[in-house]
Amino acid sequence: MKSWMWNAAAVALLAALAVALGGDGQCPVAPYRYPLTQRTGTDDEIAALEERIARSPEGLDLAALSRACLRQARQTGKRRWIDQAEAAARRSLEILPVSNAGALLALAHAAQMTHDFAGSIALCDRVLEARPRDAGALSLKATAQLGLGELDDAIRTADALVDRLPISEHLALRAVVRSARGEEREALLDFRKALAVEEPGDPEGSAWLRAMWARQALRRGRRNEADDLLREALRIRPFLPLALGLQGDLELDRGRLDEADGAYADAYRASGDPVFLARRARANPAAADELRAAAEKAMRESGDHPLALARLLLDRGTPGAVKEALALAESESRVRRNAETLETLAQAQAAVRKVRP
Amino acid sequence: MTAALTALTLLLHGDSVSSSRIEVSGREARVTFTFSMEDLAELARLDLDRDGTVEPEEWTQVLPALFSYLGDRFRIDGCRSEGDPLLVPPATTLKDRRAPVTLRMRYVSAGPLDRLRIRCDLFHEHEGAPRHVAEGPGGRVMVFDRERPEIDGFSAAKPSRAWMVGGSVAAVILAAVLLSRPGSRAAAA
Repeated sequence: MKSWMWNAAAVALLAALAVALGGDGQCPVAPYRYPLTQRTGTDDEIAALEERIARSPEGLDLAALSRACLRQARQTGKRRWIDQAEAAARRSLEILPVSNAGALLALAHAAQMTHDFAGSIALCDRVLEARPRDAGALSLKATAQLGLGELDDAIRTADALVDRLPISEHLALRAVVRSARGEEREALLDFRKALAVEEPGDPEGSAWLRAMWARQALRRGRRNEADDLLREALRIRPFLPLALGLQGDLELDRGRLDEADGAYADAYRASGDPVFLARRARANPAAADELRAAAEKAMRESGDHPLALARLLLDRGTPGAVKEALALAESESRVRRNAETLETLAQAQAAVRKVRP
Repeated sequence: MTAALTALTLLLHGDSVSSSRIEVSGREARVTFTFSMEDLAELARLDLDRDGTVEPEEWTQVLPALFSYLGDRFRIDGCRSEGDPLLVPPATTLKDRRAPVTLRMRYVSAGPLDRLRIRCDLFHEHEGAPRHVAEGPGGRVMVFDRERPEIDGFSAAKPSRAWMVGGSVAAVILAAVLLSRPGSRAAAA
């Protein structure tokens, strides 16, 4: 009788501990340990820099303005800030043509934001010639190499970056490169290290780290882990389009179409990226034709999404659409030989063989 | 650095994207809009006391101007429009430029609303290619843009309900036909 009572008391104690440790809604995989803060005042910073430049245009101030415009581009998703950043960086280089790594890197960054990865690498190399261990140049270069699918080069650059400065952002970048190389275990290790050394002050980066980690978990079928990470990412940055889109993928994977549709709709509203319209078509069969047509139109207008357009055309499956998808995938594979491009190319080749009489 | 990484997974777009959900009841259509804080901030000065946050009291003051804009730029043929002042957005910081803001309009027609003819040119004064995604009854979706600002024949009836009504009518007719046959009556008796 007594032992029964002791056992019951032990179970009750363990249950209370479990509730106390895990029941506060915190993410058990990668909790964000810092208070959630508002963004820094980029508007005020830009106004102050513009005022100073109007009085006396200095190369370094223009480079700083360029960086502030790029931050604004990231926050708003508006392309005009990239144009302003480029203009400020070019003016900075006219005034200060040498020892102006800030302006060169701002241009490299702007090039990357418009997916001109080759141009971005060329600009990074100009900085690295003079400063071979410049962390900013190394991180931009590794990202661009990843974008081009040059995975051996990307991992070498990412290793050099982590050796130079093993901070959370750099470890997260190497994790993504390793994940792209199929080195899942090593990628997970880097994600965990990135979390361990995470610092306050970059909530966007913290949310991004969790979203990319969730993407890897989702690809490996670890849905609960992905769900947990995405919830935390969206707690840190509630309107992060990447996390919203992945939330849609997760819900679609679970067969919860309404939730998936809602998440993709939020991601589209937050980003304006027509890729999310196309993904909505999969979650909302009743409106699929309208959504696909709108996504296709937007992709053709922007010209920025050849691969996504190819996949959309493959979904349509008509002989003409499949032929165009193959041409797009072939053209893209000449500049970006990453896994995504090659997979789309293979799908397009298979689809062409299927429709050929 | 993170911004550079973000570029890998998402392109930046200059396009305004807004959405709406349309509910029709009799002669009235209720349209619940969702906009980004960024887009609304370009329409009117929202933060009247310049403290970085748009409080509900400030929303209340700017809502008439926003409703007027919505009434001009989102029109349903044959309807007069008015804003719903009861739905006041919560306090929203201007820094959260992607934060969704919900506003509601009522469109009232003199007759029943069976099919909607909608004209939408929201944010066409902005740069890029603004788009508006309207969701109607039964999950129907329409996407408006510069080249397609008007959609005619947006059905106001819920398809599922129409099917239910049609199905019920067909069932009643079928039952009546079966019961009217002499053999059926004898069997029923």
